[in-house]
Amino acid sequence: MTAWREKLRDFFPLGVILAATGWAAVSVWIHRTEEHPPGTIVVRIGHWQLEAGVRDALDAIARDYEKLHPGVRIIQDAIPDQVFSQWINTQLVGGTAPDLVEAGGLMAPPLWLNLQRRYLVPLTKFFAEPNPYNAGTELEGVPLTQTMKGGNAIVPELQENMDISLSRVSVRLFYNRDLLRRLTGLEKPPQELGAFLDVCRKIQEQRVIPIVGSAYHFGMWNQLFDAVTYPAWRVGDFNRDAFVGSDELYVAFRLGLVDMNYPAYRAKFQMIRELSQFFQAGFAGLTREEGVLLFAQQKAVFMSTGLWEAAGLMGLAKDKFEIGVIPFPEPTADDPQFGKFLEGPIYEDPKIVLGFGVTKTSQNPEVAIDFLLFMASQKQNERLNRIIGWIPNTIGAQTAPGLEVFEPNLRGVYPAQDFSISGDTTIRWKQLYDLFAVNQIDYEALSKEFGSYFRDRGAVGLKLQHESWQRGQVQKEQLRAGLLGQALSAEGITADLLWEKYAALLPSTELVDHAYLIRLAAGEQPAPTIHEEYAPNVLEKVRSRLQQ
Amino acid sequence: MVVAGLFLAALFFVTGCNRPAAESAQAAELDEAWNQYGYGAYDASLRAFKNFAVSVPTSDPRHTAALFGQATVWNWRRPGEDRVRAGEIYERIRRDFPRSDFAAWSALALARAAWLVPVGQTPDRGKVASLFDNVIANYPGSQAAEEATISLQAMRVESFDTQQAAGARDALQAFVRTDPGSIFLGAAYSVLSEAERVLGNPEARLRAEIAAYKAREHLARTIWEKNLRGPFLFNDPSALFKIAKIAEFDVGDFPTAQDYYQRFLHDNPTEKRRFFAEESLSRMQRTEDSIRKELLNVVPQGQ
Repeated sequence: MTAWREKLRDFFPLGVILAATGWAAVSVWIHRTEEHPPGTIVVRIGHWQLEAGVRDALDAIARDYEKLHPGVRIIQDAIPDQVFSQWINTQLVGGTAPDLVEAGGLMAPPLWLNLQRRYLVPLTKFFAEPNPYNAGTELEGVPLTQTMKGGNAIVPELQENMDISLSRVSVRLFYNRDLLRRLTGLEKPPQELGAFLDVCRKIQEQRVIPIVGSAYHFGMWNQLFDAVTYPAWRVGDFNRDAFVGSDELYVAFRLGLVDMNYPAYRAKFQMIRELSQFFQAGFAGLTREEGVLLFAQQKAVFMSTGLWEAAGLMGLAKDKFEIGVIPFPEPTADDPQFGKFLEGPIYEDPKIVLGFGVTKTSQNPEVAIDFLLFMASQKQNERLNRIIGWIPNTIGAQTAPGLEVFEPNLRGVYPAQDFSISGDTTIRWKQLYDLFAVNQIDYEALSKEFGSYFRDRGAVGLKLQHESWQRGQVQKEQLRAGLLGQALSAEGITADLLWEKYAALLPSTELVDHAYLIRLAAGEQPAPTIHEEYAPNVLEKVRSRLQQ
Repeated sequence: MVVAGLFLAALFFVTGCNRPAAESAQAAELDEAWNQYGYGAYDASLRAFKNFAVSVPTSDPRHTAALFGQATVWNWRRPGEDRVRAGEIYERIRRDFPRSDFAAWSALALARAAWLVPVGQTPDRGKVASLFDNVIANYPGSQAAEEATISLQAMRVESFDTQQAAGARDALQAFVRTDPGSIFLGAAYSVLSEAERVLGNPEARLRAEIAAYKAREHLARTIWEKNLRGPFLFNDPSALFKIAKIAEFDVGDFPTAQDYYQRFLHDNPTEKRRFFAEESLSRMQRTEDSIRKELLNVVPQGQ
């Protein structure tokens, strides 16, 4: 009896473990069977959008798709953004990634590029064909690429479209309507910058914080501040692409074509000074949550943030105060300080979000792509974004009522001041910029300190940028070598398409462009002459043509 | 006799049927080896190329393809590249299969490897130039030679030496004249444009940029016409913009600038540079109006 008891005592823990394991296995089996009965085609969709609405919207669209396609089950893997990057990396490498993955992976572009190349299915051919789910709409028969508002450009390094984007978001100025009314008597803040500053002054006089500031929120105002730097394209666009890259800006500094006293640059900092006095003290050191808390506690009237935060803010304000939303105030053309530098309306970079790619390990890639096309169709894209509260990315899909104010303005001026030629200059710039924003240094000190730093360290930056470009060439050459091997073994149209891509990736002129900037900076090439509009010889040519 | 004949016929039928199936399976193996290379699974890719190379006779062109695959993996795998081993295989292909396309591509791979040195090192330009020359001289008319020509001339233009640039211009002009059907025609015109920039000829640069754009569009259209899936889609906003800006600011050819800004706006209505393009169109219009007014006010001499 004792021996039997001893045996029982010895084996009891093992029995418990086996029973627990068995129970867990059965539970998982039952759950899985309920979730997708045998014979069901399962498509998993992995993303990091835990904001209110996204999961509900994806679920709703998934259920609609399942009704249309009995036997298909769509399951979401919603992963917190803090760990998504590591999660998707390991899933892709381990061959266990979902069928659809959110594009970008919250990682540095070169890393994502590498993962795309290895683990995602190119979707280019679907971009050239009509989306079958647009049948019966005005988009019937229209190639997918022409049905999208954005996110349809090919990945240059791969010469392929790799994902389909479903939504757009933008940044706006939110305000506490009740507080604004009580403090200023206004129902809506003015859209003109000068009048807006007056309203802020009035609020501040009543010891209320006019604008919530934090490192996160302040950055959103850059859209306004940077817009006045646009005139600098006249002095720093050496490669004729209408942008002033960080390398071009450095060369322009080096050649003395522009400096910190460039009037448009000074105007930007004047504007920052005018506005930043209305943020709470020491805002640059605060976090996003601290900023939101001030707004939720009704200690501040305005807060800049994105559409992605709108639903959360509305929830915080529910039954407490009413929230209004406006585009950022802008100076008018007759503004004495900024009018002449703001050459047009401000272009608002639409943030294209909720892009999904299809993994090569998908067991059912055709179904995954089909579901993606379903979500990108006009009707479904409208419904998806209505539930989320975002802006549709499909042409003709209507934005939900009340969200029209978030439609980005796609015609206007854009920044022409980029000091990020190297890690050093980026960090130094940010340090001094923050000190200026919180009024610890003035513009003279900022420009003196940074102007000389940029001129000195920029040379190293240009060299590092060139080296980084060289590294990129190796990656490109790896890809070209693969395309060449496949093209040489392929036949017919497949071979033609591979040869076209191979030829497009021949890095023929980038080399010369880089060399030109390096030589310009070193004084080995004659510096270009800058004209307000046209060079005299250009005008002479126009005159002579018109005389004929 | 009849039975024997039927047996032989059946045997012939079976083996005849099996041959294409076997060939197709082998082609799939080779494809898979390249796919593995594309995924960055270099060990698997190398294994597949090696297995394939021994599974087909050396007289089979696919044997050379598999050798080329092995050399490619050793040349471009990161980490773990072995350029010496890659070089040996490339040389072996050139020696043992001199008439194969892969011989020319191997020679080009050796030249490009000498050109793309690790960061911090400077390529031996003389050696690289002679390797490119070698491809051009030994494999005339091949696509590898076409690419070598463009790479060599780009290297010469990049020196920013006007004599070198003039030589490159002549070579590229000859190339576009003699090889108008080359898939590298667009690239050749792009390098020609840069040569003209170094030589200070904005009009010629503009012509070359336009020709480069048209060559790329033509290549895409030719392939599309063979394929005909959906409408023809070709859009290169940066190229359109570059042509328009050179025409407007460097050449003063407003009609061309207007044409290309309009094309840009038509194909890219929501692109970031839309405002710039629209402003350029009105700036040119303003300038022309002002010159017209000025010309009207000038009293012709002798009146």
